[in-house]
Amino acid sequence: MTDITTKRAAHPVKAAFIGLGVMGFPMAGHMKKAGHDVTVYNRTAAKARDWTKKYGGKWAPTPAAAAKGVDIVCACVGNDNDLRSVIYGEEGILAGMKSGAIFVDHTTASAGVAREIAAEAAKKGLGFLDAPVSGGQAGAENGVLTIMVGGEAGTFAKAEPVISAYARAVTLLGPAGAGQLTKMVNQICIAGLVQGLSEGLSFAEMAGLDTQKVVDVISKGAAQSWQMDNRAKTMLADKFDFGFAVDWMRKDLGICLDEARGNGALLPLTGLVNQFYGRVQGMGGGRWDTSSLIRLLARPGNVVKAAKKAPAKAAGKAKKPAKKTVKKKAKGRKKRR
Amino acid sequence: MSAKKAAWIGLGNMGYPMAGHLHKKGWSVTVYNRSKAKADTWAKEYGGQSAATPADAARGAEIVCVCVGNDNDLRSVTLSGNGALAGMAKGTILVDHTTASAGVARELFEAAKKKGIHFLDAPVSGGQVGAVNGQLTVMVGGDKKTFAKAEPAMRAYGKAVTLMGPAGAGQLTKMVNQICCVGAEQALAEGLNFAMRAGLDAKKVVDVISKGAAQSWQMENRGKTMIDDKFDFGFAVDWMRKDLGIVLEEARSNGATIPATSLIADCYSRLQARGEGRFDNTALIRLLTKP
Repeated sequence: MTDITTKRAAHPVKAAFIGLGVMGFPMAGHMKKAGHDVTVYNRTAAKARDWTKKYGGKWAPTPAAAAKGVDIVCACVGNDNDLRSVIYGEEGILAGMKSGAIFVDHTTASAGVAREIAAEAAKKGLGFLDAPVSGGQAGAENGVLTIMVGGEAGTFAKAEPVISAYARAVTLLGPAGAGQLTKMVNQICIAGLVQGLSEGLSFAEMAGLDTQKVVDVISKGAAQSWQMDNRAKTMLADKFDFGFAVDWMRKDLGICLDEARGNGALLPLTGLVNQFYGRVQGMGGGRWDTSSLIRLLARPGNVVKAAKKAPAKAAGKAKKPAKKTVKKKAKGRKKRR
Repeated sequence: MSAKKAAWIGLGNMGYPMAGHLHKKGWSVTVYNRSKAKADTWAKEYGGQSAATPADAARGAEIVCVCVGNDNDLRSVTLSGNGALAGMAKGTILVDHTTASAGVARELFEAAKKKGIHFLDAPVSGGQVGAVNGQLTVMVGGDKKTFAKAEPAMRAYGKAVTLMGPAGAGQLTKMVNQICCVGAEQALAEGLNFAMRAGLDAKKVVDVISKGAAQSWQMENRGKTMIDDKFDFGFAVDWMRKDLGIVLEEARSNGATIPATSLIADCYSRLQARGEGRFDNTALIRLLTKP
């Protein structure tokens, strides 16, 4: 893969990057290519070795060892608990960092855990920024992410030149937690919109319209969206391997709904879409991209099937199979929890 | 060379300026409006003629355009004794710009056909601003030949004029448009309200997230006015609720499942019940900010 941008840092620093998943791996790579002295840590060490083979730099056996003596530590892991596990304890990031250093968390996590880490970091004389990103795997690979940051202005000013290595836009949105809250707004706007787009496209199919032509026409007006411009075609082709997975969106929406319970915001559509994503997971689509919501809706193909099944039920065999279905569904639900 | 003759039925927020554009493009336009005063005002402003009935307006016109409120208004100005079809000659074209059901479009297509008259269903998007500036998107259903003949006239107010398929296809396309619009609006409403409740600078949030995958026309053009609790930017709640009623009915017959759209239709009904039917359709956020 070729990089669109390779930025050289004016002032190279010592940095650590914790978590080399689909996002972290290329992000840490951009940091190294910008000229910073980067040490990485990953839960499975093999991935960290792969990273050093590709980019140079060093890897460390623990988060604390990676964080030792560096100016800035960036993390990008799975969720609140993963985050706590790489931060706290004798082998955690905070144990390794020197006074005055800055910790930047790129994980999409709760605003609560961001505030918690900010408080812990302050106790140790460390700077902290919550800095979730958007732009997906492609954005990470091309170094063009949008970074939404919460924290203090002084800390932000110091960290910005470094994290800009993998970003197109880096914005301070408020105190600790504000980065996470902004990411939540982003996900809320996407989830409901993708559901609307799914309903529009499946309606067009059911109405017998030339769907691509419809998209071409309505995307010039008030119905236009990034999702329509970039996903409608693949949704109509029933292809769902274009980035951000349902499992991750489900995690993010869970965080949004928790936060809304605290701040009192009503989220009727978001709540509904969260349940729909749960159903997509239930049909084995957890790794499909978020536009797979359309799979739950009536399409010209799947309605014919349902119509064929109906007469069998009417023949009086409905009772037993119906019970079985209910049991299966209940089991499925338990598993997912 | 004498100017080609056209008729325009319905001079509301949309029809009034649309008929004006047609006149400015060199057509000789005769207008009809339910309240005569509006038709006279139009005739005075543009120097055209006004008629007492749709049939009178339509007499001698090559093309008759209609833009009224709903299915019933449409039937009364086209099919009744004094309706447009009664005045139209064989081979002329009836173009309906009303957002109406696909059913009534097919019904009018057939009724016109019996009289040797051609019909196009041609709902528009772009709102009042688009009508005033002659920048509408026109989604057309009907046959190709008729479309080819009528297209130059529709270009007077249409920036994009597209034949979508047979009779009804224009209306169905407009329905898809509305489904996508309201989904984006409700999601945006929930996102912005959440931002405000969370104590964020909501406008700054819009600036940041509108650069990425959350971007939408609604976010870029209505996000900030929604935050400011201002809802005088065009298409009203009452009209959107009407359009969604048509969508829900069509979905019932074609089998499409549209759960979010149904939820949002209920939200619009609640706004109407609160007396907020004349606010623009982004007022969805008021159910969240002022529940």
